[in-house]
Amino acid sequence: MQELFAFIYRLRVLLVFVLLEVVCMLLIINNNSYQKAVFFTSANRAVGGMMQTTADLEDYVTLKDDNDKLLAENATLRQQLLEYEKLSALLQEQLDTTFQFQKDSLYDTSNYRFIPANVINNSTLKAKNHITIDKGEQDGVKPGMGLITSQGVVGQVKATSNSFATCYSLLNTNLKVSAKLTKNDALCTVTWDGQNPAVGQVNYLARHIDVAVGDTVGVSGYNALYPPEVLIGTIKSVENLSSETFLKVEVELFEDFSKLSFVYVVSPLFKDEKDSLEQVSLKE
Amino acid sequence: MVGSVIGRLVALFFVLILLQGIFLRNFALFDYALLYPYVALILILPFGIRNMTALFMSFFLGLIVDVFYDTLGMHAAACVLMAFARIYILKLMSKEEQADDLTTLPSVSSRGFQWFALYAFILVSVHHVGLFALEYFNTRLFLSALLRGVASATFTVTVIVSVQYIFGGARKTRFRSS
Repeated sequence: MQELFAFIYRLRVLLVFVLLEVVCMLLIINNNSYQKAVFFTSANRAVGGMMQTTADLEDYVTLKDDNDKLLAENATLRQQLLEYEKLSALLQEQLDTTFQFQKDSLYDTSNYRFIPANVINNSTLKAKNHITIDKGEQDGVKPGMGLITSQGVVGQVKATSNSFATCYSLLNTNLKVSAKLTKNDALCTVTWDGQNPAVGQVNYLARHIDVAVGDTVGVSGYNALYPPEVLIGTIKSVENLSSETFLKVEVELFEDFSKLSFVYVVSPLFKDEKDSLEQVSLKE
Repeated sequence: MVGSVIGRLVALFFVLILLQGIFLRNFALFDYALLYPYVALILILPFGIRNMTALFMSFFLGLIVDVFYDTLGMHAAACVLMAFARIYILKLMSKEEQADDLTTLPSVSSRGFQWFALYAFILVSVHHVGLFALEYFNTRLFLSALLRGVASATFTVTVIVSVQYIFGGARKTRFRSS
């Protein structure tokens, strides 16, 4: 121990020198805007690279889970394909026999393009959680686009750089998702109160609406952010307080945000067209 | 004797800081070489001064100059670097018996022109190159920082040595204690 102190004592000039230089660097970085910009830009690049590397490594760890999920998704898709093939054959038959217009939905999935992306940073413990993905402007990601997985809604793109994008997680107290009950199309808004990452809140459901535990909540599709088939979760609890205007409803989210690793960014092909039309017609 | 040395250093401190902070702020030779004669204060600290004291004095000297230049930290970092280099340069260049000498200041009069010019040029170069490197803050620009630092150091050392001759210090005043 004594030798250690003697060693430190012998190095004291060097240590004081290093200490003073560190103090100077802190002063420089905090008080000079150019040096600050250079420092934080390179630091961000380094941190971004590190986040990418850790995410790459984590991808291997969750590879099996992801694989299973993809297999299951594949199976459902194939099942659906079969059903559609049957349906289209049936429809063709009907068309052939009786010529009639089929009801057309604006929100056909062909109106959307899905950009697959890896999650390279994610949190669930804060009140305002964000997700960073490895796709950016060069892949067609723009601020405001929706983020989904095969399980359900994940969030919304907040800002983009050339090859990365930060997104509001659904677990962000600032994000509101326009939603509806799949049972009776009752319009509502899903938010998160910042507490349990598995449970969200359903707001603005009037008290007369028939809601039961176990009902499914999906997106409304009115703002063309998400395809209307995308789900959010199932109703966990319903409280009908006579003192409140709206029901107090909690929804159990389908998506497990702590295990998020692969998402789709929803790029609506006709959103601009729809928005500009609505803007013009609403002005009149 | 020690008291008069301290008095001289304090007087020099005020003169150099005022000169540096007010008159030399925007002065550049050929728009390229800058003049920082205030580093003379670090050069002429007594041979026997404690290393720790020299480091802290340089740090605060740099901070004060930084306040004038609005570059908080840069001059301080360069000055600390220079004071640290001074320890090793003096170990190489000074005589053994001067290790505890608190009254002799390194100058042209005490050690001769050649010795002082070399000593000053090395240390001032360290300071200036460090300062420009910090100002550019970019590894790709290090070569330009090096060139500009050495050019400015030549300018600064010329001025420091000239002043010692002009004000007579180099001929008459000798700070020898014994």
